[in-house]
Amino acid sequence: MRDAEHTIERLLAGLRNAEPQPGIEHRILEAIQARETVASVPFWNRLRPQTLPAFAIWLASALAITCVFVAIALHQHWRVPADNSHPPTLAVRQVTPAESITQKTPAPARRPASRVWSKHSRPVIPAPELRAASFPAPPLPLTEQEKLLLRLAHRRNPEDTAILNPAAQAAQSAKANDQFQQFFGMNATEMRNQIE
Amino acid sequence: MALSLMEDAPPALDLAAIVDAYSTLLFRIANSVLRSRTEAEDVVQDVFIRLLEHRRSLSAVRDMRVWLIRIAWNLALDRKRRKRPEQLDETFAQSLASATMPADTAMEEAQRYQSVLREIERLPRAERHVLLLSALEELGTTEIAAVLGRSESAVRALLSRARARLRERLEKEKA
Repeated sequence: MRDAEHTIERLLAGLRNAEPQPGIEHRILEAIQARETVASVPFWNRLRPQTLPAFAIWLASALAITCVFVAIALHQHWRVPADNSHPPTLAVRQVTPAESITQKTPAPARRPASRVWSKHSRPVIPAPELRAASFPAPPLPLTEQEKLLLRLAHRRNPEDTAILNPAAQAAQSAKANDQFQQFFGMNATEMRNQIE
Repeated sequence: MALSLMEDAPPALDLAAIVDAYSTLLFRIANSVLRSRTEAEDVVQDVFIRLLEHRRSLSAVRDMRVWLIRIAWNLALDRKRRKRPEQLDETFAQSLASATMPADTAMEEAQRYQSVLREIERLPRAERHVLLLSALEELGTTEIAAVLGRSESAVRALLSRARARLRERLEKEKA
């Protein structure tokens, strides 16, 4: 018990009697003075060429110039033309009427809400659409001529379909003329002479 | 030593005189925690830098001595959290033993000091702090209580418990 107490006392006495290195006051005052001197110099004065290596200045200049160019390039890239007040149209493949006729299952209509327009009027296309091979256009409505053709093709009336074929139309006209001549037994020239 | 930097400081603050008066005490306080002369001197320097930073508000400080001791104490504790105390304790124990003992017994004594320091570190924090501060004869119970923010009776009780617990653990270790 006494031995432990004795060891504790000797250790605490060692802490109690610890002496700093000679001249601690001088060192502390010098360190504080140096710190105050540095703190009193303005920040920009500390960045003078004498205090900075030359390559550091050049490196900083090069970085600054690079940053300016990158900023300008990004600005040009993202800027919207002044006359581009309407949303840009997407390049679509032209669909022929025949394609539209034979197309049994129309492509699913794309939701307008899937494209988000940013404040710079640039379309933000979702990633799946960007990965697609192309942008198939939605089926266009048929024109009046296309609708007429569709009706003729479905009705299969010989007279109507002959309209589309000039040779067949001429043959049918000659046949009708022959039937007329046979029915009345005279030709048109003789009838005109009788009338005169 | 007159400092030119004192020109823009309040006239009541004579830094050179304050450094002369308190540097040794603050060194011992920091050294009791860190057990390293170099680290303790750095702490003392930091204390006076804090003093300069707060020189405009020093009029609100009631007791400059306690205020400085508390700063040194807290800075030392903060610094110790970032260090490995085992290495510092080993060096301190060896230097203390070699300064007081002949070379043939110094190593054995250094090991005993190391075990005491290890047990001190294992004490509850409040007891450890009171024990270390009470080791410095410059500090009375009143000042220790002011530094630690406790009552004087609490400081006395903590000190008594710390010594008893330390003694008991050392005896158990020896047995």
